[in-house]
Amino acid sequence: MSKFAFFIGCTIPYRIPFVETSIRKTFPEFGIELMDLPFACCPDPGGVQGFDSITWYTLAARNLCLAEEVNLNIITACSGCFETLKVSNTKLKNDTRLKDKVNEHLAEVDREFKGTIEVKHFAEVLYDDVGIDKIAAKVQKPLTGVRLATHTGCHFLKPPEILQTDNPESPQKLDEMVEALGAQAVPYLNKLMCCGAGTRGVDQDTAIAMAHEKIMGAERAKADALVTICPTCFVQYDVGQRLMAKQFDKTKLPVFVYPELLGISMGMDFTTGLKMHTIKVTPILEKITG
Amino acid sequence: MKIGTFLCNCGGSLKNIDWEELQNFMKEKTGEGDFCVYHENLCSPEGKAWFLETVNKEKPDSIVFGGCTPKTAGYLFEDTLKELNMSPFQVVGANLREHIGWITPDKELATRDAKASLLGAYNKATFDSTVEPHEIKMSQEAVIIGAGPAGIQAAQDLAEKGHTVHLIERNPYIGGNAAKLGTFFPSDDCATCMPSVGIKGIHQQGIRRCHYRSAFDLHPKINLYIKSEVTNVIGAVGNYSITVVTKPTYVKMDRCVNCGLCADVCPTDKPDEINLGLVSRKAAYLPVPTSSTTKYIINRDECPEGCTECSKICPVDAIDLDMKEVTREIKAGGVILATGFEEYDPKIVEEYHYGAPGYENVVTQSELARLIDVYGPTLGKPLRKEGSLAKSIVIINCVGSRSQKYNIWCSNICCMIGIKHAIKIKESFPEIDVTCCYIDIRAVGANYEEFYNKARDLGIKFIRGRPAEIESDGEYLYVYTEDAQADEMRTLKTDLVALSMSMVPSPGAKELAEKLKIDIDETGYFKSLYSKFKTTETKQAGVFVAGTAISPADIPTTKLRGGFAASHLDMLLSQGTLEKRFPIAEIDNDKCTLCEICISVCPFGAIEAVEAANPGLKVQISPTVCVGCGQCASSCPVSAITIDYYTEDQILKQVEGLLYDAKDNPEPLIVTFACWECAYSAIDGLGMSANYRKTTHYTEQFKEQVTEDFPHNLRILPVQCTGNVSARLIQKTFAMGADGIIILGCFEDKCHYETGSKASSIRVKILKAMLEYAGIDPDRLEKETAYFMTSDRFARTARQMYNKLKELGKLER
Amino acid sequence: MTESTELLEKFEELLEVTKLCYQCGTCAGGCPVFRQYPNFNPRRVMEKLLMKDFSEQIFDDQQIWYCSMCYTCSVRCPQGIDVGHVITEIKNLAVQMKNAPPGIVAELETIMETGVTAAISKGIMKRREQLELPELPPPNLDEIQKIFEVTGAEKYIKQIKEETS
Repeated sequence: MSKFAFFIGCTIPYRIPFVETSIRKTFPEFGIELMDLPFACCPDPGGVQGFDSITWYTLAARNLCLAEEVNLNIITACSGCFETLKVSNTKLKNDTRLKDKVNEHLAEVDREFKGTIEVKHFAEVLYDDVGIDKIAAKVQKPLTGVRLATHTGCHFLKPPEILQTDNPESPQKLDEMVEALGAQAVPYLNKLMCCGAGTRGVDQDTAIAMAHEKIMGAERAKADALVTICPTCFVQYDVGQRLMAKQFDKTKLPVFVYPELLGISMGMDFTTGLKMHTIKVTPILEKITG
Repeated sequence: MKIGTFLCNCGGSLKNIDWEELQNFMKEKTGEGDFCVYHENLCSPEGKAWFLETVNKEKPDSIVFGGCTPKTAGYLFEDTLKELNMSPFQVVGANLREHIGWITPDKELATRDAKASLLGAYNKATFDSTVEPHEIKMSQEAVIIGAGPAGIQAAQDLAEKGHTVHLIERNPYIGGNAAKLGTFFPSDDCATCMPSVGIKGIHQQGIRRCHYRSAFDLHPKINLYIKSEVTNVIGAVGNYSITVVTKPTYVKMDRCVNCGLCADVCPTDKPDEINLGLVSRKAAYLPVPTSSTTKYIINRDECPEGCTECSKICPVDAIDLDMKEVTREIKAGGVILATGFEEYDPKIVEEYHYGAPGYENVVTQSELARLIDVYGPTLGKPLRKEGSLAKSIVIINCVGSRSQKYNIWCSNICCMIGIKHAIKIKESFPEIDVTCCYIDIRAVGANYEEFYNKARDLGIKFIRGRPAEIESDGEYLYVYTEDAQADEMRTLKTDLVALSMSMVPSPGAKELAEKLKIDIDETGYFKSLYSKFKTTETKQAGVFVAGTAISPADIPTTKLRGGFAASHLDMLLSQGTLEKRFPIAEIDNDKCTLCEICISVCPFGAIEAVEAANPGLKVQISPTVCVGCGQCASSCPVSAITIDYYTEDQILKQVEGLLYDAKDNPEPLIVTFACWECAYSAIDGLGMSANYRKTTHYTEQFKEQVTEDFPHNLRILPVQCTGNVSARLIQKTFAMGADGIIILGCFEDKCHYETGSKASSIRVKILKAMLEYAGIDPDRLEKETAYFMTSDRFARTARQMYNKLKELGKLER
Repeated sequence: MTESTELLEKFEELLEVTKLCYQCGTCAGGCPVFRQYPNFNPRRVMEKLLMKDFSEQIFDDQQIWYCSMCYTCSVRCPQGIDVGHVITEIKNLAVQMKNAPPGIVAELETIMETGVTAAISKGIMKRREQLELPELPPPNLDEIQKIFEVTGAEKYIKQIKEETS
């Protein structure tokens, strides 16, 4: 059993809670115990970091302090949270001046960042700690014949010298994790491209156009669905396709976050949650079960 | 020792020195047998005659010359000294003109400084500095490593001059990279011509002839060893012993007629690496058919066990499957490194996905060259990997070059190679769409810009923007680039992409540099002695570099470098015996404690610890390699190493003379140790400038800016290298009466002895800290660097120190 | 143009990082935003810095906020310049000069007041019930607000809102 402080973020619990379900149901099967703490927004590595870096570091450090208090490493469910927390954790551990400045602010709320814990993304934990073999061993309903376009996303990979998760020019881990479920990870154009979420705050049309490029690439490669490891990317693609229909031709490519597919392949019943997707997933479910 | 002092007044022009007082001073200070004489114009014919007469009559052991800079006097009196059978090291110069007469207008001050300079020189001359010339009898043979365009040029030139040349080549063919390139830009010549320039008769007929087949390897003076590598090097200039290991080709080169029957019957199939694995070859094969000297060879390790089919069928008995590896010791007088370059590994630039599945049509320029060579695997058609003719090609420049992440240098020729390929393709297949993505187009050589114009004329598209990524959908490639001129994003859908890869030194360059004791620089290429006009020389007198082993270059430059290197090696060796007539380091092994600091410090590798009877090891300084800089001497903790003419005692005696008036001179005295190469010339330059400015009429507006007050009381003496100024020397100079010391040397990266100036900077830094600790203001000691064209740096430092010393006062002893 | 020495110092710092740029365009070539929206071009942002063009323009129009922070430019720059970070620094400076898009300001305000970015609606709480998800421990809002106060973020938000009203 490995226990983690569960950093659920904002988007999953309060926008797409079905992803939270899939995580809470599947992870214990691999010996991962999740503890909830009074975390706040990580905060967002796009808007808040752009607004003021020190505020960003300080709010992130506050969250890290909570985990330090209970001496648990953090597992994040969202890539944005992962980048915020791991970059802050690493920089504060290595840059004394920055740490002193942040601790000065934290002192006002009676907290101090010490740098005693690590931050991991759930995909790292599944791939590095649990391992592909163990995942494959739990599969009962293999996703045979399912063509998946994998989207590892940006905040899981970059900046690579700090995050050190996978090769940003050729990420393999999500592909392998998907193949462990029996599915096929298909190559497609624009595979490495950003989902566009970061531009949403200033111009939604451009952000949606960016997501549209990805959907186009996946469809051209005849993918059955798009799978991500980040809820923000998920929203861009799932809810996004409804918004895309205003500018472009309508598409209906199903989108998943990996733990959902993990659970489905392990034989779990996620019917309630899957109904909450914007783009209907019934066609692909039929492919798996039928 | 009888010492004669000769004073010269430069035609009577140095009126601000009291010459009579000088003579009286010398009479007072010097010994019984010594003499001091004056001539108004010593370098005139009458003056020289008088000088000859006087020396022959008086027969001094050493001479002091007080007059113009010894840098000029040296060559003015070279012949005269030869006539007198005297060595230049029996003469010590006192620079009364450039350093004193031309700079200090005040007669009293100038005369005082002149006295110091003279006495200092006299003191130095009291030491016996007969420098025995060291003779090196040189082998007339040469070893050239690398048979590419540069190596071949050098081999030809040296052979024609009568030297026996040993040309060592790692590959089983000659021509290097050029042999695989097809044609050269901008003239579109055959690349095969260059290695095939026949020796016999090329110049005789007055017309350029086609040489695709030549007798290059049959030249009586050229010994060509293919499949060979250098494994060991012993020796120094004039006498190298080089171990060369030759792997067997299993084919007798002089019997093979290139019929190909062996290849016909050979059962083995291997991908042809020279043709990018597009076609296969046998274990018995012809490596590069276009190269003139190539013959069939056999890769025996690729053969099936015990197979001898080729040997059986060969009609001319050219195959010997029992051929063995041969190790040779080759003796040579000098070595030329012409090891060339190779393409940077394209896999490192990951965003272009070279070599990944789906990206088979991403190739490098050298691979594209094979595809468009009429003798290549596709007979000159730019085909995609699955066999269809490419309809569009994108060329990407600067891959791996000009980058802090990969290689910082520009690889010089890739822009032109890309354009060459684009033109070749467009001319043969006008329907193919060719686009070139670039950051800058570097078309610097003769006719290069016109070549670039031709490309655009043919309809080749040029987009300014470095592509960020290449993607593949299994069928086509997509190149994502900004079109910076249009400020638009472009996605180029294409059949084929050619990467203009950066050029890096051939593998093994670093190891060869170590064996030959030369340097490589940060780029990994061999370091030239002096990029201005000694491009092909290195810090070792017997080692030369040529071609692209120095840096990426086009064919004309490569050939020029090869010829230049050959010319210099020939000039060196044809002396027969190399005479070193300057002082070199000598070690007193009784004093030596075997600490080996001198070995680490010598940048030329001139010092070694060798086996000896007692105590087991002995430190030895090679008189062949030693250049006499003295870095070893100043580093030796027990002063076991000395260099005639610049021994520590000698220098200190000179300093004593320079500081003769330390006790009663109220002004601060600054002793300047100037290296004989850059620094001394820089100070001369100040004098030269001060003098001619007297005659140049400056308009009023400049007058204020160009008036300078140059400090007097500078007591200047030369050392061969500031690296030879030890901490002891500096401390004793302070003790003798100097109020301030300036160590003036070459710029650290331009030091004529490689590391001397840098070593002296480090030494000064440490000493400053020690002076401060001892309660002495560290500003009394400065290291400055200057060369002739930057003499203002010295003037500024000297003025600053003078002003500081006026504040601090005299140093209390 | 502001005369504040602190801001000028910040610019000098940015210049140090950017001076190796020779405008090759790799950052623009890989930028997912530029592909859709030609007015945002990371190469042009670097050009302005190289030309020491610190005119209000970089900050006034909201173009700089288009950056989606994907860091592709930083990873690909052949000179190793962290272009994404430079753009973030410019965004920070724009805020200090009272300029940010309303969407971003709204997000910051929401975090300051509720501790999270998404509005917690009744509908979403119902869905959580349906999915049998636990109640999450709420963050300490006093701490959050205090942090916004001491870092100056609260002040910036106020200033920007005053500017735009």
